[in-house]
Amino acid sequence: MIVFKNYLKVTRSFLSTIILYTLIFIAIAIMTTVSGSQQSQSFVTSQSSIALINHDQDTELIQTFQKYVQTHAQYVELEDSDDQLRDALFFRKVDYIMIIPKNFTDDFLNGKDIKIQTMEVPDSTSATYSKTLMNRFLNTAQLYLSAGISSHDLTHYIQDDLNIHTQVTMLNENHDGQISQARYFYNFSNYSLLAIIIVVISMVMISFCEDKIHRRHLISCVSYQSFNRQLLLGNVVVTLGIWLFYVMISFLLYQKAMCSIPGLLLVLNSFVFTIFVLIFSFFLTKLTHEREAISMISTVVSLGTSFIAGVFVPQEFLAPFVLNIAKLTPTYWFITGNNQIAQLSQYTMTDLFPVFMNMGIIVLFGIGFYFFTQFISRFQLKK
Amino acid sequence: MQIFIYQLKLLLRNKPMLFWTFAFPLILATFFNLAFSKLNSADSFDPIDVAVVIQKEDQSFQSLLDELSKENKDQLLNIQYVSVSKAQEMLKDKVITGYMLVDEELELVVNDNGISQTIVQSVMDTYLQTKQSMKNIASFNPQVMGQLIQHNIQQDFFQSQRISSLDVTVVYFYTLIGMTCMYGGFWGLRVSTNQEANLSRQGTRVQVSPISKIRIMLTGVIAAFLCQYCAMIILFAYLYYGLNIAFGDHSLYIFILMAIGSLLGIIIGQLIGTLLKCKENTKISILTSVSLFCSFLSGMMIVDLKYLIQEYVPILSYMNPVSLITDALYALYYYPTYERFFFNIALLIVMVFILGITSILISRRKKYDSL
Repeated sequence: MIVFKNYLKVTRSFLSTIILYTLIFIAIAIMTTVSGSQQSQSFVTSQSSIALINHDQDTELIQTFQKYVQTHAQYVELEDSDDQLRDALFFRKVDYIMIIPKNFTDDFLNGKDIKIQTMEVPDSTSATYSKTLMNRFLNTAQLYLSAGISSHDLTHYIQDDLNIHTQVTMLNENHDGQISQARYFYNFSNYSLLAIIIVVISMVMISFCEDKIHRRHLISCVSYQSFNRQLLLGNVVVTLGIWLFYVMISFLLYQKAMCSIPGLLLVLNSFVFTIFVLIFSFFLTKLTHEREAISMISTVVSLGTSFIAGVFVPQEFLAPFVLNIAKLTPTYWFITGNNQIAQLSQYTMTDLFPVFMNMGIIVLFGIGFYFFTQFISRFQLKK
Repeated sequence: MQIFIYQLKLLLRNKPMLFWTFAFPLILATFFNLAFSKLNSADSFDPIDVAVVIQKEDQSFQSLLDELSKENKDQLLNIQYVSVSKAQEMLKDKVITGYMLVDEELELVVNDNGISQTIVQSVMDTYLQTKQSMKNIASFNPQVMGQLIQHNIQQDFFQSQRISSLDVTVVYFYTLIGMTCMYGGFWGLRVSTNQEANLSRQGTRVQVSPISKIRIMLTGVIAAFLCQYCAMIILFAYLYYGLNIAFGDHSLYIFILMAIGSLLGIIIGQLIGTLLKCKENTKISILTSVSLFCSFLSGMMIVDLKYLIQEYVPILSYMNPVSLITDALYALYYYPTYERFFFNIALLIVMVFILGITSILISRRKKYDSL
């Protein structure tokens, strides 16, 4: 087992890479599960984020207005500096910024035509919504004022009226919040599994393929067959080790969801995908022996597929022709499989069929690359 | 000069690496562009499809709906009147966002949470709330009701400071430029391998030759810079002309920025090469992980991260070269003034200076017992 031991030793030099990718991965997973879609059984209004910069005095009208913003939207505190406002808007930390001019309250109460300056993403849905929402407050106020109500009573009436809401019924499909979080976790694992396994497997294999080392192996007393078998064992053990590590993290994070049928299906799906990645990494070592090239290929493959197949950008936001291109990568089928699993409500054969079909397609990709590898190595041997 | 040409030849002879440094950013840029082709338009508002089920006529509500679904630029809703069963079917097929039940009370039926659903709800709320306000007014001051009818309750109190250049996806491409600069480190790494006696045959030969180490190093860095800068220019041309990414109108500044960035990347690579005593495997994986991690912190995978770090741990973004490059490009694109751009540039130059000096000092001290 000397080759196998040596294999693990070489792998150890990649520990820093593995840890770093895992850190990135966990950070992404946690960030998206925290901010990501919170599915709930009853209807929850979406709140746009609104900031209010007041250049007027702290009048009663403005206080009520502020309170209104706080109850009907996500109130964002921002510093009154152009840099801060611009940055927040660019990164969509705020959808709508209102800058109340000096003497606004007086002018407003006297019915003068006065405008509040706003900054927003032009024509965006959330800005349109915020504008309607904020106009409603001011219009109601104006309505009462023209009916001759004093500005003092105004606040009380407005608050009462604007707290009336339409009843909303939700026709529910069965959504389990945690399973969809676990789905995000597994979707993101596409990125790190690809990146880590390609780098580790390919780089280690290249170390063994270096001419001098290869020749040294050939004259050693270890038979060629056993040598290859031990290498294969090393590959499989390392790959599955990394995979198992990720599965364990998912069980730690989403205990309840992972111990159910869809959770186990997610694990199975990622297992199939991991096997594919292993075969693909093997294929790459046949393609090139340059370490720098491998490093860049792994970045291109992992980031590229993650972007076009629905990991970083959800599939529903991708243009149809992009998805068609993505169908040429196993990542697409892996992600689609995960999404289907998360939406399963029954586990009959007909429901599960598409899930298994997706796995089947990944397996086919694996077989394809396997034969490709065989073909190339045959070709190289002849040389 | 002779040494410089040899250094350049050494770098250029490595065909696969040459190919990958040039092709790698282009391929990634293409992927990004594919991913964002639809996202760019996701922000814009389209009228919401809603079905209305009338069980009891409500004239004023219906006229409000008709008003909101008029085809003009402010069109909010796109409504159709149907039966309950049809509405349920449409909701299930996701043809509509939800349907309104108009009975004694108003009711909205949806099957998901979201901003569109909320807007529909808010339309209905407005109606109910205005109705309530009118009722209140009628109760204590009935005589003004007549003139209130003429009162415009759809007045707009806001004036937008039309801000342009708000396309957040450009940041992804900016991080890509930053990352490509860092990948210049691979050239730096190569250069250090080529000139350290214990790392390569060429290095041994170079070290025994009667040439000062600073000259060897400088020629190496310049050769690497030449290769890297070509790759950067090709990437920029591709982004600008091929993919039509917006960069603001100051190409000259961008070229300066890319030059400093590339230089920094190469020096970092060289530093890793000379400083760390480990296998080439490990060096490459360290370089890759460091540049990826820096890109990650500048928002390559999740763009919000750039903002969060700037907001809560700004020191992290000042130390991160990818983030500085990204931020400089962002400042050129979005800001009307140049202060922020030059601030970033200044920090980058300071980094180049410190790391460059360190690298020179380290390789100066190196002695080999036996070659």
